[in-house]
Amino acid sequence: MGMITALDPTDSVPSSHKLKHPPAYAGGSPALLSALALVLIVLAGCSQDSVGTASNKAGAGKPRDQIVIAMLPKLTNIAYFRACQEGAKKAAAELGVRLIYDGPTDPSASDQNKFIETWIRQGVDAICIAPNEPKAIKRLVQQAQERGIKVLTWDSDAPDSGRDLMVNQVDDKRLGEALMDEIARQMHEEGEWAVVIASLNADNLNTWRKYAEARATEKYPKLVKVDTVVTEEDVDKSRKLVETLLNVHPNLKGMIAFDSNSVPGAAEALKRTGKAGKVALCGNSTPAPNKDYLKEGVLESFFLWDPRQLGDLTVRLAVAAVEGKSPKAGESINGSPPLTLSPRDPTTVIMSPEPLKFTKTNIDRYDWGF
Amino acid sequence: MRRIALPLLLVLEVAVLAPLSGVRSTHFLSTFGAYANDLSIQAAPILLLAFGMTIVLISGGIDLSVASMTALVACVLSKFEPGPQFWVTAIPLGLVLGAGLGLANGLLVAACDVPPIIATLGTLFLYRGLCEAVLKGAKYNPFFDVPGYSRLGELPGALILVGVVLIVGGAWFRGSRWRREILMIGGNRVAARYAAIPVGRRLVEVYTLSGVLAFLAAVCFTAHDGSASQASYMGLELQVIVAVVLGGTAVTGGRGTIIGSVLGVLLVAVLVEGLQAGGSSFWIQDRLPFKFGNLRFVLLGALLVFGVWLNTRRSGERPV
Repeated sequence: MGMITALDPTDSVPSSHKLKHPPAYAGGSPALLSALALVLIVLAGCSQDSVGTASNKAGAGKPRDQIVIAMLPKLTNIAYFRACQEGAKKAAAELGVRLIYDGPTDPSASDQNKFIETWIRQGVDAICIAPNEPKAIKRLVQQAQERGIKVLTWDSDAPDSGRDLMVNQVDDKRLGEALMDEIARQMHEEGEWAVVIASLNADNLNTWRKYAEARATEKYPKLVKVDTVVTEEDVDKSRKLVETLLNVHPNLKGMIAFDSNSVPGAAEALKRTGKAGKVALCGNSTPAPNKDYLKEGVLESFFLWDPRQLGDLTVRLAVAAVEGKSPKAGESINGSPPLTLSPRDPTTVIMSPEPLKFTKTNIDRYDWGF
Repeated sequence: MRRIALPLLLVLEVAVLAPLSGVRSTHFLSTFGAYANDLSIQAAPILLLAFGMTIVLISGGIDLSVASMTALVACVLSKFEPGPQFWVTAIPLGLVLGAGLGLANGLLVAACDVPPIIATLGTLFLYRGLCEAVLKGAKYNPFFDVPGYSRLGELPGALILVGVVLIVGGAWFRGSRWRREILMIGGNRVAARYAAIPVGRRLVEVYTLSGVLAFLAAVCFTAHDGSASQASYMGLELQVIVAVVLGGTAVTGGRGTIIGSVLGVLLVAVLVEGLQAGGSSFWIQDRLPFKFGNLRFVLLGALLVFGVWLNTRRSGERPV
């Protein structure tokens, strides 16, 4: 029999055609009541917007095993952030605090916000964010701070968001300049070059890029930037896009790849197109995927720092923030090595003022496993 | 008993899952208020999509491409320049785009006679792929630099938008002849044709509406998140379909209400939020060998099957 159902009981349909058991929601009152209740609840929520929960304000006096540090990487499943997690876990275990290290599987700002919102509601003591998009977290930073939660950024900054502290792995200016100096040397200070970068929004990568470009304008006028390639933290994408780049610009002499997945992708592209040794490549990436390329001469050098140390330092600084201690230049805090503050921003701690340079000769010393 | 089943389930769900998200009996009003706040903002765009999905399902079809349409509109919106002119350049274009994407679906179903599940599966991939093309050479996201825009991503702005659509739209829908025609198309398409209902045109209208609502959902999402990417809102169509089916709409067509879908959306939203919070709960993490948040798709799938079963039983009909 057909399934024409009369949802509106006032329809003029002969009763013999009406179903014996009409479906439950003919706009029934229980459904309406619950909708009404929800509206009331939400309105109540609106007016309670900025009430902080008392538990967070007592951060300074809390015993360590009750302190919860929540750490949010840009994405969880790449080697670089897994390494950071290792360091963070170690520091948390040493200090005796509880650590939540979680994040999205794609570098998505909206997914990151979901984690932050949940942690704010759960009332953690500190949230450490490596933001994919610096402007997207401002409102949440304010919300968290209103509830007494300390907010740190690490790995990549959100300078205008009002965060309490930034843990930067390098001095941005030094890294940008080191990258440019290296590639300029390999290119004999003239020719076309291109940028290979994971995203044009992430603050850290683009700050390094801007310092590198500024260095080029200032010291290497014969270098011409011809293109920018966006790889979205994906090795395969990086390889494909760089192969296209090499085809489009046959006179390209050099590339700087600004993140850990772009470098091996670009190196592989150089290998496959036979341009290894003819086009210079430099960047910052983790040792393991680039070791072979270094030994084969596709890559002459690349830079990094120890990501485990970054995770470690972030946790120690977060705990210090919760306990009301502020970082001072030259002093160690919660067991960290003596701190360096950024000359340009007193709320930024710099982990390694000089980036670590990997070459064929020293790469074997860094068997980090990632 | 049947009428209170879903609201009761919602209350139970909230009671079990809210504590995971920080709701405490000590500061109950403020913690619950914060919970309800965040939940409403998360549910707002899904409510919009569910409105469209309900009507599509009633018509006997399905729209698998809603998440992709939303993502594509959001990506296109993100290419505009920030500033007050955003309202007159980007918003109308987004509306036209959403309607156009929905129209394409409708034409495939009505004019080309492609079964809706296949047509919208195809556009799911097509629109998602177009996102990547659109985002090439993208500049910075304008959303937070457009005056007044982020109000749509918070309360009460988001709720007002959703409220207007659902209440005004829903009220119109309930009393309209259009609704009865859609019900008839979903119930028995041949009979509908004989009843002089312009089936093809109605179907095109239904899918176009779904596209327009995808545009509105994209506005809600981008106003809240401030960004859009090729991978945005993946898997959202599953959430919407589960919500609508749980709310009493039959996937076979011919039956469904907006209020039921609203309840369904809330049920799913509470569940998804609870899973997200559970993933960060030490109490749970210490006891489970796997990542709690990964249960999301398992549970949503189970809910979908359960919802369909529940509705078949509740209608009292035996499928012929």
